[in-house]
Amino acid sequence: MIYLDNAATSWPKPEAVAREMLKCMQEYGANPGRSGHRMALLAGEKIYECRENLAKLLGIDDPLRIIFTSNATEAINLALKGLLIPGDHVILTSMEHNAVLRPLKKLETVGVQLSIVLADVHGKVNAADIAGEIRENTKLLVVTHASNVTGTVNDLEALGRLTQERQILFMVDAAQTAGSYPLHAGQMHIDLLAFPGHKGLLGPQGTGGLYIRPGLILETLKEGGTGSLSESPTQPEFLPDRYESGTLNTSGIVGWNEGVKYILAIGVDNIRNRENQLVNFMLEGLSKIKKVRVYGSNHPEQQTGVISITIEGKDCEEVCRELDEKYSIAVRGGLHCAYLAHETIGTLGTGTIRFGIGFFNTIQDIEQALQALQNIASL
Amino acid sequence: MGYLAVFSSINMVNRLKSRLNRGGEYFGMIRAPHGISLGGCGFALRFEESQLLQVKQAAQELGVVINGIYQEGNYDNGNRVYIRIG
Repeated sequence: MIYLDNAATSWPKPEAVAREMLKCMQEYGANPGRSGHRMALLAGEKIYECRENLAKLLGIDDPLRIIFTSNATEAINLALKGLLIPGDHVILTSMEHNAVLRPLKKLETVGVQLSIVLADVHGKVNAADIAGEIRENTKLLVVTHASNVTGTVNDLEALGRLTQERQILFMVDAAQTAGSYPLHAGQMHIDLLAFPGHKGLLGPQGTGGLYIRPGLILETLKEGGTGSLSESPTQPEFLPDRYESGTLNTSGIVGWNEGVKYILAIGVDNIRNRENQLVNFMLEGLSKIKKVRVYGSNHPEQQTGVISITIEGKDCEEVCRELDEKYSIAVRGGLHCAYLAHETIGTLGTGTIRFGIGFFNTIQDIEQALQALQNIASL
Repeated sequence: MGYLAVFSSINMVNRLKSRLNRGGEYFGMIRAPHGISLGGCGFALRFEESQLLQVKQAAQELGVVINGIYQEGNYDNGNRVYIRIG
């Protein structure tokens, strides 16, 4: 199988990921932060090691301000529902995933006000358009770092400066960029950063996190046992315990840690360059296939490994099935849980065929995908 | 005799331990004895007297709150005695 669905979840993972997960299950899979025996202490150390490596990778000073969640969606829900109260105004963009849009729509029903800033047809958001929507009661700007439909990357430095100047909070959904695109929470003035463990960060599914900048206090979404301050009937105030009730996904997180270590060893810039090279090659190839339309910026330097296309006269899901069954190529068709983004680029009625290129793909993978598309488009 | 710096959670001890162990010296972690575990279920960094200043400095630099520092004393009626020194 040629796996080109890395925007949904990355595959394969570095070998050390599965190896450490198995080792955890077989040798030290105790409950971290609870008991005091050596297995539990080791589990706790490994969990902390993951926080520390994530902090190093994402430009975060204090690893204890990283909250582990089950995925980016849970992290986004914690951030939005923990922060916003009726009467607050939030700005989002038309390229947001449903992971952002749906919690906000739910909050709108209790009096949170939303403004959706329209991106251009390539999926790019203009900072001036965002600035024009800021009101007296605007509390938060939430943007995707890169669209999961077009791969178009937003300029976080510019948006971070804007939110600082206008004194509103800045939240970033890094589902498509964490681990594969340079990201520095401190330098980009990010207040809340949500990320999945299982995409660019090369961990297993069931992992994710939220960074909360110092001084920012969110309401909790869940309360319960944290292994700390057990005499207290109320939730601890300190992080990450305040937001991490219940047993963590230890085997998942220790596997994730190996994924993060792998990225730190290779270097995000090298990962980015490799993916960039593959995207460039694919975009060039696609430009030569008649009936294929490419969405997004069409510039590899402004794009992640995501490429969305349509083929004139072809149903996107049918093409995906043919790619799977006839050519053993895994991609994703449809609306990608981001109907607003499709509305923005004009593909709500058709959906797109999305190629999610990852670090482990090769030029040969792309060549075979291009050949398959050439064959399908010519029929 | 060893010393214990008691914290409210394992995460705090691990943060401190990670910093301190970088210097090549080994700082251990234990579950804090119940009697000195403020609020219940604390964890403690275990170290030697010569490392006391390092522990205090690192905690201050990292902004990690130490609930109490104790010296391990002798046994009394089968229980270890802990003497609070900070």
